[in-house]
Amino acid sequence: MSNTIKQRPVEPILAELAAAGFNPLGSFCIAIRDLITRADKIANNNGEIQAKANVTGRTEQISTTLQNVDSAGNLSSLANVNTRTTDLLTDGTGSPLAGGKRGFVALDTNNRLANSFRANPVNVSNTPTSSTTLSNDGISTSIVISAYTSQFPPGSVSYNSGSIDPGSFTAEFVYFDDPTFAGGAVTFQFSPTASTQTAAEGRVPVGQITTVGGAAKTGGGSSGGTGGHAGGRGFIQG
Amino acid sequence: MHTTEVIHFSKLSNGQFCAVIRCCGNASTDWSHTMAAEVVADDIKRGSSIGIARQQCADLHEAAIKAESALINEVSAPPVEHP
Repeated sequence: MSNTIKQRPVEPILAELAAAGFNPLGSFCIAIRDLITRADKIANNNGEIQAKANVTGRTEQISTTLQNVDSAGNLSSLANVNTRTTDLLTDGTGSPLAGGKRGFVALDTNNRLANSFRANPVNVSNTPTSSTTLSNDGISTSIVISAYTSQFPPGSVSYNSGSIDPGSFTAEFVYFDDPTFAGGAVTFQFSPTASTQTAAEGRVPVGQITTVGGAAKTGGGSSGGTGGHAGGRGFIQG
Repeated sequence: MHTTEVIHFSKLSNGQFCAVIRCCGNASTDWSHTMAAEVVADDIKRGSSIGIARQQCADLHEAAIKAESALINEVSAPPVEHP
């Protein structure tokens, strides 16, 4: 809000006193003038504090005191904070966390990721606790992914079962995306190309299976079963 | 008797299609079934593929119900009283 103070200048006041019969050079008018002049040292006719005034107990001019405070009363930049240690900042809250707290939670005292769940799944080793996770009956081309648990370094994550259907008996790499290690229901995908397993940061490989018409096969898991390579750990070689 | 329904069907970014099948309206039975585009495009292949996935979803639900009924009233042996 702008300043609405409009003080009367000294001269008209003294002129009124003279008109009222007071001697402008008399002691009364001089005393009045001295009082007004005393106030003029720190405030002008617009009711503004003079920039050269200083706050009681301080020696610098008020223009220096306020030079880094903007019109909204905020510091103009963090460079003007006297103590810049971030330890003084209050931790933020929310989900997901924001601000400095996000980094505090994600990093350890050596500035490394606090644990593997803070990394991208595609870079984190894991081992399925089941010996196989993929199966095909040799009759239909559908491949069943059993519900299974995978052991990651900070803990285990369980995934729901599901199925895929490539449409033919073939060799496929099965994977899904779970960027936050949430577990539970996931959307399984498949590809005959090994490199697809590492084509996204949140990707988790399930395993590989080669299906054959007329013969039941298993794959994935920690063993690879009868028709594939073991899943987990990292990418699966073709 | 189990009743399955496709509650969600979507095209994935890699061109495959995913159907989520639910049994008896129970969200805990949700079954993700991903198909190649050639399967979805062929009425017979699609019907067969979805049918198999429906049956797998129903079988899993049935197994869960049986397991629950077998385990829910299971009572452990009474503790041995020590003199």
